[in-house]
Amino acid sequence: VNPVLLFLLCAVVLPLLLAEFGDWCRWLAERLVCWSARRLGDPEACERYQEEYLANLDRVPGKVSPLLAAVGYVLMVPRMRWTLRAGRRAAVGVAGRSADDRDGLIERLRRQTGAAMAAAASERIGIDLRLLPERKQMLATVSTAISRSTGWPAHVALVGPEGSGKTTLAMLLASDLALGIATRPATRESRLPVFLPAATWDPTRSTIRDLIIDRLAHDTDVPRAVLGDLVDRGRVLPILDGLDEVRPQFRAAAAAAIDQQSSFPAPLVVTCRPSDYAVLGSHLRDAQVFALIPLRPTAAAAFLQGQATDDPRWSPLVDTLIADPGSPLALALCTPLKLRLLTAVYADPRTQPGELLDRARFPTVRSVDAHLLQQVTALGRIDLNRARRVRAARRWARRRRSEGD
Amino acid sequence: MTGLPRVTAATLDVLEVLLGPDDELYGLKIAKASGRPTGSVFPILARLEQLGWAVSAWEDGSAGDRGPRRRFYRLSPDGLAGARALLAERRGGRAIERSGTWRIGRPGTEGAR
Repeated sequence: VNPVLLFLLCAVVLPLLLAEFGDWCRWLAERLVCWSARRLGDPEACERYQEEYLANLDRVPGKVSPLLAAVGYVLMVPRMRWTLRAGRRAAVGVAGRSADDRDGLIERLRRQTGAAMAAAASERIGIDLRLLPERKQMLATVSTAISRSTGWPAHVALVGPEGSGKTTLAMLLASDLALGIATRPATRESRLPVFLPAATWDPTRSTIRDLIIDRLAHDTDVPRAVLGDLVDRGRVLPILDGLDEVRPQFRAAAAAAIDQQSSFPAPLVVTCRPSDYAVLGSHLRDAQVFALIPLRPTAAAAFLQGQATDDPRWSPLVDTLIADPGSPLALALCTPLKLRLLTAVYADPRTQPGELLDRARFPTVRSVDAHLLQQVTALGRIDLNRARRVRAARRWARRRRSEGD
Repeated sequence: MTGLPRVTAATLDVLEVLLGPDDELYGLKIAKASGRPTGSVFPILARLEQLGWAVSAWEDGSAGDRGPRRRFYRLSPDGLAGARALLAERRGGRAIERSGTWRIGRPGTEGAR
C-alpha cells in the first residue's frame, strides 16, 4: 500500500468524512423528527409537535445522539397517533353535541371569563372609565351595536390616541358582553367575547383562530378541539387589543390574518391608534369605527369632584377647569391616562394639585404633561392600590360623619 | 369514551416530575428527570393534557429568533390535586410495587356538558 495514499486517507479524507457524517446525522435526525410529527393526524397537532420535537432535538448534544433520539420519535408515532386520536374522538363527542349543549358551554365560559376580565379591568384602571360620561356612553353604544348585530356581522374598531382608554374600554367591553348576556339564557347567536392583546401576537406563527384557542385553553378546562369548533361556528367574539402594537415586521402577516378572520361568521373587534388604523384598518371591510374623543374639561372636573368631594386641595383646579376650558391644564387633562397620572401624583394629602394652575410654571400643555410624567417617575410607580385605599378611607370617613349627624 | 386511561408507573414518574418546583419543563427534560424514554413521555403528556391534568404553553420568544420554541408543561389545578392524591395513594409509603394499573377520573367534564 502506498504510504502517501494511506497518510492522505487517514489525515484528510477520513476526518472530512467524519465531519460530513456528523452534519448528515443531524440533518437526517431533523428529517425523521419532522416526518414523525407529520404522521400525527390533524394539521394543528402536526405543526405543534413538529416544533416541539425539533426544540427538544436541539437540546440533545453530540452528532449521533440526535439521530438515535430521532429514531425514538419515529418509534413513538403509533402510540402518539393512538393517544391523539382517542383525544379527538372524546372531544368530537362533546363538540358534536346538540346546539343546546353548546349554548350551555358558552354560557358557562361567559360567566367564568367575564368575571375574570372584570377583575382584570378593575385591577388595571385605577380610575373607573364609567365615571367619564364620554367613555361610559361609548361602552354602551358599542356593546349594544355588537350584541344587536344580526346577519353577517360587521367588524368594530375602537380608534383613539395614546392614553385614551382603548385597552380598558376593550376589557370592559369583553366583561360587559360576557356578563351582561350571561344573565339571560344563551341563544344560538350569543357569543363568547375573548380579549386578546396584540402586542405579544406573532401573526407569522398563529392565526387569530389560534390566538383565541390558546387563550381559552389557558383560561378554561375545555379541550382545544371543542374550542376550535366554537370558533368555527362563529360563537366566539375576538377582541384584538392594540393593533398598533403589532411589531413592524409582523404588520403584513397581521393584515393577512385579519383578512383570514374576516371569513369567520363572527365580528372582529380591534382597538388601534388613528395613524395605524389608516394602514391596518383597510383590511377590516365595512368596519364600524368608534372614535375615542378627548374628554371635555367639564367631564374631567366632574370626575375629580367625584373623586375628592371633601378634599379642598382639588377645588381651585376643578373651578379652573370649568371656568377656563381653554387653559393648558384643561387641554392637558383630556385623556383618562392623564387623569390617572394626576390623581396618582397628587394622592398624597401633603401635595398641592393647585400648583398646576401657576401659568408661569406651566404655560403649555406640554409642560403640564412633562411635570406629571416626571412626578410619576419620581413616585417609582403609580401606586394605584394606595390611591384606592385613600379613596376607601375617605368614603368611610364620610359615612362616619353622616352617621354622626 | 368508555375506557378510562390507565395510570402506569411511567405516568406516576411523569406526574412526580410535574409536581416538582421546575416551571420550565419540556418533553426532553421531563424524560430525563423521570428516567423514562421520550417515546413514552410524550404520549403520557398528550393524554394528561387531554384529561385537563396538564397544560402546556410555548416558551416566550418571537418567531425565528432562536429556532423552534420549546413547549413547557405544568399541572392544572385539577391535575395538581389529582396528582398529589394519586401519588400519595400509590407512592406514599414507597412500598407499593411499580407495576399494575390504576384508573383516574376525567376532571372538568361536568362543565363541558
